[in-house]
Amino acid sequence: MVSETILSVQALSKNFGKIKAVDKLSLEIKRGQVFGILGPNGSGKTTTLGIVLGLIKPQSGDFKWFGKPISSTLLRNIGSILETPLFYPYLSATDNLKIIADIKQVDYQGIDEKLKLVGLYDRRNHAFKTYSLGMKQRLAIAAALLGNPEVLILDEPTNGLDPQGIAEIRDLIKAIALQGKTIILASHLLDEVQKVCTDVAVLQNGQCLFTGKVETITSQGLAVEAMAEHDELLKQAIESCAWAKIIDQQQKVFHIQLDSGHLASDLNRYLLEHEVALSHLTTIKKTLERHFLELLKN
Amino acid sequence: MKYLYRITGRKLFKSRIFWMMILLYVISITSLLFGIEAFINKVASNANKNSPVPIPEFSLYTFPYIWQNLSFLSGFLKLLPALILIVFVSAEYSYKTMRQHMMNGLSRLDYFFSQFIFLFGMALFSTLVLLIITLILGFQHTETITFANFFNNSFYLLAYFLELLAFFSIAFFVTSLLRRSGLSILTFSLLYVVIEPISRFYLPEAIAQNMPFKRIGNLIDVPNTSLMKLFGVNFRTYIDHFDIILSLAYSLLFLFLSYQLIKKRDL
Repeated sequence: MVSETILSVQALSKNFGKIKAVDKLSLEIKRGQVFGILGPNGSGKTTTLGIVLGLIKPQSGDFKWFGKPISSTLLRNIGSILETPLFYPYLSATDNLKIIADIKQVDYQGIDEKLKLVGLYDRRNHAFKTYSLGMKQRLAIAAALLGNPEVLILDEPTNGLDPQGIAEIRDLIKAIALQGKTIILASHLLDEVQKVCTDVAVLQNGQCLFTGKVETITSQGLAVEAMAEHDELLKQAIESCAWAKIIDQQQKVFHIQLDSGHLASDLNRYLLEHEVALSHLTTIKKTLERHFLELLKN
Repeated sequence: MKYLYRITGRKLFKSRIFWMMILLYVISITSLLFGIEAFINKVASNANKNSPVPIPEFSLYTFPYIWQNLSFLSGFLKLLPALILIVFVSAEYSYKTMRQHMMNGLSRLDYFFSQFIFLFGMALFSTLVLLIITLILGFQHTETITFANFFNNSFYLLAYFLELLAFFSIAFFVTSLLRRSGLSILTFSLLYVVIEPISRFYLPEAIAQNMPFKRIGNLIDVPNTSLMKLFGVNFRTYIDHFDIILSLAYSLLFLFLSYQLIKKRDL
């Protein structure tokens, strides 16, 4: 199945003075993906999103939405939140959404429905400035959903929320993804990306360190922790093994990376064949966080 | 285009601060225009006591002279509606709503148009306020009103509108350039009250006479009241075409520059 490319970014660069905010970044986002852009603060996530939304002009490089250059018409089909929720503080939720509906050129009918979806219907006539941070964030999501856009861009959507609010927003994002919408989610929270996204790009200093499926990272091979009485023998045995590699050693504890398709029991059998008896063996599920930290280390 | 009117209307008319500022402006201009005649006559009658020649009582409010008298006086208060403009244009930057609008698919040109609607609307509103006050005072103080003396000089109303349009265009440009509300208010007020008048003093006559605030202010000359005639000064009783052209040119220039800023800058 060939899925349609929603956004393609090629060798995008943007400097702010001497700082390279985005450095020759290339990305490809396909229809139906929940695409996580992961990186520490200041890694260029928001700048990248600002560029693809036409707010910031890049120094070089190119990007295309649905194979076309950006235009107001295209933007009306993209719901986006960048950094913080931005509304007129003195206007009510309904009035703020009416302004957005006017800009997106959709009628006011969807407003109540979206407000109910994010649980703000009862407060719809209250001024935005009276809202709590969580409510503001939810209104921003309602605004992004207005007009049922095909693509959603969410920049740190759970920033500043309490645990319950975070869980609500994540469920909401998953529910939206199930409708077949493409979602681009920028976050510095690994856990968030792992829980919500199908694909991920890891950014650091404006460069893309890695892109791929979240699934393949989390299930990519296996890491095990092993200890033996004679660690020299263990080390030699592993070095002679084609599908295992020592990634770390802390005193007598070895961290061993297994290629995919091999389990801890395979390693155990192999080592017994080489006359090494283990005193300790555990499987470590490789999380995105480990992978992320490894990437940043290199 | 219709939706731009709706957006602009909604964000302004639902703001309490907007109505409070409008109210303050209307109160100021009404008290100025209603009170000025009594004030001048009081000053004149005080001066009369020591004056060798009698100073006549006079009325500012008779048609057709009222058109020029009141539009000239209203020009002194044009900073007030300009400040309302600056406050709400800069708010788009401080609330970052402009940025959100662009993300939602408002083109930069349409954004400029929505702000121009506001600017044009403020000029229209201020002119309307002047028209209403002129009609009330004029009908109260003119004994015989003929078609001719009513409409004669009513073109001063249009000149006042142009004066505001050009003045607001500069205010809009300064705000688009500086983006911060306080800084824009201060800079614009200083340019108008201090910087341009002082620089005119040092610059060659040819440049000084054609600077924006000077030209805009020149549109409506000081009225030739009987008081002025007493002093032997004689001002223009017509509007100079060159003033009209230059005021229009300045409006277009500053609007164009504002649009360039909106178009080119990162948000």
